[in-house]
Amino acid sequence: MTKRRFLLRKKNPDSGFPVWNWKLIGLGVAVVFLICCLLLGAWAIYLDRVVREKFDGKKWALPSRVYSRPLELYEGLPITPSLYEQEMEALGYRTATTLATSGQMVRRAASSREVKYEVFTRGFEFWDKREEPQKYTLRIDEGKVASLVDSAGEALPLVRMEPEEIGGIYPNNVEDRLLVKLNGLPPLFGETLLAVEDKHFLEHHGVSPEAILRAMWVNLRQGDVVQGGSTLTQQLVKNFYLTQKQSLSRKIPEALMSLLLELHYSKSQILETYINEVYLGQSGSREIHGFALASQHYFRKPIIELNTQEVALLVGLVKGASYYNPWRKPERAKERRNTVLSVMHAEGLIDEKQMRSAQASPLSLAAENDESLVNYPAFVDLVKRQLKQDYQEEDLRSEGLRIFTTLAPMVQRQAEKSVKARVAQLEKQHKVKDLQASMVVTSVGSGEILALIGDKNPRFTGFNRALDARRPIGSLIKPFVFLTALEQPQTYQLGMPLSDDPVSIKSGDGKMWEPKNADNLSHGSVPLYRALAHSYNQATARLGMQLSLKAVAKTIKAAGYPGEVPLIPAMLIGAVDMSPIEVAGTYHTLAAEGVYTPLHVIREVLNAEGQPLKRYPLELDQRFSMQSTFALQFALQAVLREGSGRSVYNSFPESLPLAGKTGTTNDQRDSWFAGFSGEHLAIVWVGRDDNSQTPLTGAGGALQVWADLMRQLPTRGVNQRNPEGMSFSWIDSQTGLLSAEDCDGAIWLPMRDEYRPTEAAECNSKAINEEHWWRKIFH
Amino acid sequence: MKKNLIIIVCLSMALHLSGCSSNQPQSTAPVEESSVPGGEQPNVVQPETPIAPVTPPIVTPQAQGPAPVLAKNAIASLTTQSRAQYQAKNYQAAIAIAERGLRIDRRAPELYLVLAQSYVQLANTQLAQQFVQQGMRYALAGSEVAQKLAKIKDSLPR
Repeated sequence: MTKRRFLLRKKNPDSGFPVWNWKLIGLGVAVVFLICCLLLGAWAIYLDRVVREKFDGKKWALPSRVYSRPLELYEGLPITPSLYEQEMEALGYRTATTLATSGQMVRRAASSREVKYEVFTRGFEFWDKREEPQKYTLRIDEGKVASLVDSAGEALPLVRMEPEEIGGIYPNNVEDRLLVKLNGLPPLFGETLLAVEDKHFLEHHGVSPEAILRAMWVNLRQGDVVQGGSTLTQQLVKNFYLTQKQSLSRKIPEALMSLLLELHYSKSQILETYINEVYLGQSGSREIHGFALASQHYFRKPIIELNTQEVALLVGLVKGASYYNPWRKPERAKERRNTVLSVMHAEGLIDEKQMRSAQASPLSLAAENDESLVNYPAFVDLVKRQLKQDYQEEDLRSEGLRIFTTLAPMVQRQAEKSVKARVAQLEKQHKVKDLQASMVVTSVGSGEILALIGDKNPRFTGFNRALDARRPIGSLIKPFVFLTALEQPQTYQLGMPLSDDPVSIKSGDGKMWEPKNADNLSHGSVPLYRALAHSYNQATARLGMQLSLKAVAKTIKAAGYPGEVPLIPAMLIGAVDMSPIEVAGTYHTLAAEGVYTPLHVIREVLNAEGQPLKRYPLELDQRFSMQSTFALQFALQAVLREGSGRSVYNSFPESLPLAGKTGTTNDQRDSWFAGFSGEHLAIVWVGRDDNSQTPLTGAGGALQVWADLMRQLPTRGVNQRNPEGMSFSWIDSQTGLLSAEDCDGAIWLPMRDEYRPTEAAECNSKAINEEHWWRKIFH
Repeated sequence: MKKNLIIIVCLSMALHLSGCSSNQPQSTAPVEESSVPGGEQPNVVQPETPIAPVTPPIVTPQAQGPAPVLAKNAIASLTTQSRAQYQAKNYQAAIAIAERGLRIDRRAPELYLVLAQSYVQLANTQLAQQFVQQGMRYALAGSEVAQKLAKIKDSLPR
């Protein structure tokens, strides 16, 4: 006090310091203070605006999610236990002994072919309605669904499973998240998060001085930063608005913004935003944000299905997702998880027995995702290309669209296995390297692409051969030459004789073109269907020239080829470049009995709120008559029964009618096969990227990949029911006239009633009476 | 079938003996000259290579008739749902459900009928025409569905 008086005395005007000076200083201080207050106020207003703009607006750029087709289960569906289980595993269903929660299934095997499954579905918001979670029992027997009933034992006509998420179109910062609301969290989740990260969250106003002081004290004692004093609100502000930089200059706005955030928004809004914002891991270049996506990432199941120990692990990861990465540092992650479980026990969330049991349990992680952003890059590439016709790139990356595609994961998986294994085997067998392959699989009729492979390594993201590798298609062109003929039934029928003698055609440049058969032989007069079945070049070239190049080109375009067909004679035996998907487009018309349907990969697009944005409806156009395509399909079945692809029936039951065509180009540079059943069409190309010679023909390469796939795929045969105005007759293979079953050279062919021959050929009895393949499968 | 065969054989013998048959179209194509320039001439070869399976087959695919009869419950259910949406004038929903059914059985004529009717209501006569045509391919002649499809066909502009 004495000292104070002394100081005051010193400041006394009597000491020579004028009073007005003191007033001036006081004024100056007041002005400075006022300016500071104004600046602080302006800054606070600015921060307030920043806080509210982002929080009230669109918080995140949400990636578009791409889904497969949902598996539809019904009695009669062709499927095997192993295919069904693969599908369920991909959807994250866990096998249990009894059904307790959604996402579980119970398996009861009666034999390897007969298995019963009890399933508790998760439910899913589809474009047309929400499928609620339900229990069903499914019995698979003899390669098909034998029964499908609900939990009360009542027959279910149909069950639609949730689709598999097959990829996404991500924002440029590659942040990925699945949004979840607080009521979508499992029990104990919120309490655990608060107990571990911010015990006083419900009491403070964004900043906790107590926590800061405690952290300072601990850090001072340790001599290092070992404890943070940030509240959950401050953590959110740091992640959501600011940088990760640790500095005082960041701490001040962080504290101020936290206060502002708490001023404007409720605790539940802040907590929900935190739960969706927090960084919880990495998958390649993709950042995993939010607990909902982390649940899918680590456990491949929705967050609502997490149990106590899984909740504890995810909450524990907040401290350092990379440091506690449970795949790479399982022991460290387990220790952290168990610490969280101890906290849960200490806070009274679980009892000791539950804690001990949870701490003793394994981490139970799903298999680690590979680092690619999408599971099926070639397919998703096509999805993106089709989407870009209707949407802006930026919208696809940020608007959270939900895209429902046609991909059938079980078909895609089998196709991948077939390509990968067979190409490796061919390389080994022929002692070659650098073979490449691509494949397109569609469903017949709907034009939906079920599977797409653009590289022999199906996970490779890059050049997509299925879409972009345009190569000569060789003999795959021939069915279109024959279809052109069969569309003129008054002149051309399957049994009519066609000359396979040498043919010589003068080209525009004056040179003679003389195509040869593969075996370098001429086969004289052959029935028209046999010329296709055996892929005779001479007969095909002759027929094509009779019909005219323009007529054949018109057929190819009518079948769905979007490009220009070169009007040159060599076109008739394959000098046309097409990509596998273009071949699929044209062959789909042949498989669908003459009905053209544009191939497509998208069914529906919904916005982030689940409102439909666009449908891609079924479109079709009858381009060829049922009769001519039925006849052509007969000839294409003959390819596999008696022609260039007959080796395929070494590994298929004779009762399954399949159709297709082999294709090989000059010097065996390209090996093609296009084939179909009544439900599936698959196109395979095998070759080299540098277009060099391979040791493979169509039958020796692509057909083998095709057969590997079709063997694994439950499917139905090609249509055997002859259309109106068409019936089967015995025809003499030499003359094309009527014959009889016991006559030598008699062949059983579908004929148009209107143009059936009326004259009969001379009949010489057959020495051996072999039943015709068509009649074998028809009976 | 055997009876038919006997009839065919008898008929062919009778025709042959009576010599009242017509000539068959011949395909003795002359060598033709093309006025368009020649291009690449692929030499297409098709040798036979036996297939060595990489993995033993686990599935025996089933040859079945054109209509998967066992899916009839699913088709009946979807037809009912689709029809209900049509009656409620939700034509887009009716179309979506009918398409869902066609993915299961593309030869279900009643679903083509709903599609055709829905597209008529949406004034898309071209697609209505196509679905009528498809439905008629698969409908049993004289059935109620066939008759309804025929009626729509008659009502559409040609």
